[in-house]
Amino acid sequence: MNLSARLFGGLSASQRLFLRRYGPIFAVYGFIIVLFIIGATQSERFLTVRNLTNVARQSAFLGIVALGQMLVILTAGIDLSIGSLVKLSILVSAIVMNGETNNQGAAIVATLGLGLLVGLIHGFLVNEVKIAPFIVTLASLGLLRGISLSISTSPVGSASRPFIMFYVQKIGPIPVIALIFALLLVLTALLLRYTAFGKYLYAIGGNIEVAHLSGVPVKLTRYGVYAICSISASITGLLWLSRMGVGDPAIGDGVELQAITAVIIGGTSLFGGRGTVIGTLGGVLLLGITANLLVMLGVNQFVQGLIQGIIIVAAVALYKQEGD
Amino acid sequence: MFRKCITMLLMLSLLLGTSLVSIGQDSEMMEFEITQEMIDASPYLQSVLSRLDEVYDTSEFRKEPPYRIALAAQGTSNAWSALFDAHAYWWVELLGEEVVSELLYGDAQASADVQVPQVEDLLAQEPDALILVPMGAAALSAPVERAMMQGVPVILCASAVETDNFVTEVGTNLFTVGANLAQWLIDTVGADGNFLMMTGIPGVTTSVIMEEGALAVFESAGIELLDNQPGMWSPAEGKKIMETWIAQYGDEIDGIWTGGAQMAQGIISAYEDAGMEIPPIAGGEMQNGFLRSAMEHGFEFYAWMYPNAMITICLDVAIHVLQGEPTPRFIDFVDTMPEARPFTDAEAEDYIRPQWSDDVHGPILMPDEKLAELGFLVEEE
Repeated sequence: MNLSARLFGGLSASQRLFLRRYGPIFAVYGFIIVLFIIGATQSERFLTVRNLTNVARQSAFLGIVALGQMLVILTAGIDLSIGSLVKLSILVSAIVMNGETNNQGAAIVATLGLGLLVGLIHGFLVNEVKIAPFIVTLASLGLLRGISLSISTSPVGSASRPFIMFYVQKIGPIPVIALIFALLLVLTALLLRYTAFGKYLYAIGGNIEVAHLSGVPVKLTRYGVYAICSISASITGLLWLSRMGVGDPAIGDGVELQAITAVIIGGTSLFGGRGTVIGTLGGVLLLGITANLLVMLGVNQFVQGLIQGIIIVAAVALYKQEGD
Repeated sequence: MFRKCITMLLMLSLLLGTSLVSIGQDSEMMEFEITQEMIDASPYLQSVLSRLDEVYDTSEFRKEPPYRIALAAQGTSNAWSALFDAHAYWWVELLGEEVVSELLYGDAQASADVQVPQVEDLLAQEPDALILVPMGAAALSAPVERAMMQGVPVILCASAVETDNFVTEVGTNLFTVGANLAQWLIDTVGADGNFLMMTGIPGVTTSVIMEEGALAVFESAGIELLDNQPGMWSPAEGKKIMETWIAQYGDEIDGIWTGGAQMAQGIISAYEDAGMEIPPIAGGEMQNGFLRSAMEHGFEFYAWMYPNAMITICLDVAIHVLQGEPTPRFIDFVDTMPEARPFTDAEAEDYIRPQWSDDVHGPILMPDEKLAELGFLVEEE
């Protein structure tokens, strides 16, 4: 008898279905609650408004790219280039803005345009040249990083003063950046639940051949999903510029792995066709709170890697039970 | 009691300093002259030089002890930073709880991406002062400004940021360090030599500024480098690049500039494998592994020091600031820790410590018992 059968043995069919579908997400949020209890009991400053808003703002940085990554993974794809694109976006936005308020619009358009372009190129290579997404975006990771470091290995450009102040803007106690993330969360959830595009993502991830035969516009959808993912990386690049005030090529390395980790913890299958926004949010919050708590408790960051590893294995084990 | 404690510790640091300062005092070190052109071209130099005569009025930060000090460190990503952290905890222990009640610690894993949110996490705990080892001059500028806006005095330790809005920086003039290494290479080999450069991690301030200094010297001497590659402060990466260079340039290589002893070890290892004579290397350090290899192979080198023990100065300065004492805006660790001066192969024997493991970067202020606890002492045979 496997774990699933032992756990769900006494339940009705509908209860079992519900628990199998949402059990792992409950587990993720359950773990978040445990972290909150640890934080509240071990550090008097963990549950302060200042720290919680700090966690919310920090989570937005990972959360936005994780949402884009989740959409790609739903189609059984992957985007390994987002960290490098974040890096390039920071540089492009800083150079174009160059400290001038008047250049803000141009910088935002140029940066989002860069994201769109990179996403469409990914889509083209995956759709038309038939190269596996892993290979396409792995190559892109190196290429975009190389371009970034060719532009500059030292800081360049700068953000305008209002753009820097945007980072600390709040509505009530809530940072505006956290609200932007919340808005994107809602939009992504609505996209997946109520639009044909959202349903196409699940269909392509479930079985691309069947999806194609069923009339799903596979190519168009994949163009769209890679574009969204790359734009999410560019948005994050803009937020980093607001956070730092200058274009620093040191930023962005490893963001893709953090995003993939959050998405996996949140229950999205790496094989596509299964995943939820609420799960990804759980993954993002879990990583964000863990990082915050480790600093609060003065724990070495290597422990964070260890904890992340354990969480990933535990989460995947839970999802495997669900699949049984 | 508190003042007694501070006085005792200052005396201890002075004692430790003077006990080591006699090493290699008689050696002659060439210094490179900084030109106005170089100053004009380097915002880093402009910042350091302008702060040399400045003093920060810290009366606004005056508080009664004990203090809660936040340390945003590089993290235990290599032996240098592990010993940096060990010195920090050791010094805080010596200071006692009546002086520093809590050391809030952030481990950046040598990454600006990790450090920026970590500084935010540390500030959320409302420390009395922040000691920051910046992992990126630009990336950490805005967080430093936000800390100062919050009323938390920022003491930069071992590296700089782009903004000028902090209390003080403890370090050394990295531009001059890079320039002096390059100048030594030119003086040793001649301006007609073929040189290679191996820098640290691209984008990391320490590496970028040292490179700036070296390139300024090479350019002013009209030297065109054979190649310049980042060795990532890693022996493995350093060896990989050197193997390629040996295959490409072979005997043409007359000298190598490197931004750290870890990479120098990789360079030496690549030459050992190739069975070739090692050319002069500018960029060794007081690192036991490097010194052992250098003495074994007998090549010429110029070493500089970037002591992990400088964190003890940073902590003392943080306390000084919280006492409301006027504080110089640039504190060169060489002035407080004179043993941390450059040296050459002629003095290698004075700097090697047989009891230390190969990865220990000196000078070390902690007693050997502490090093033993951390696993940095070799077993006696």
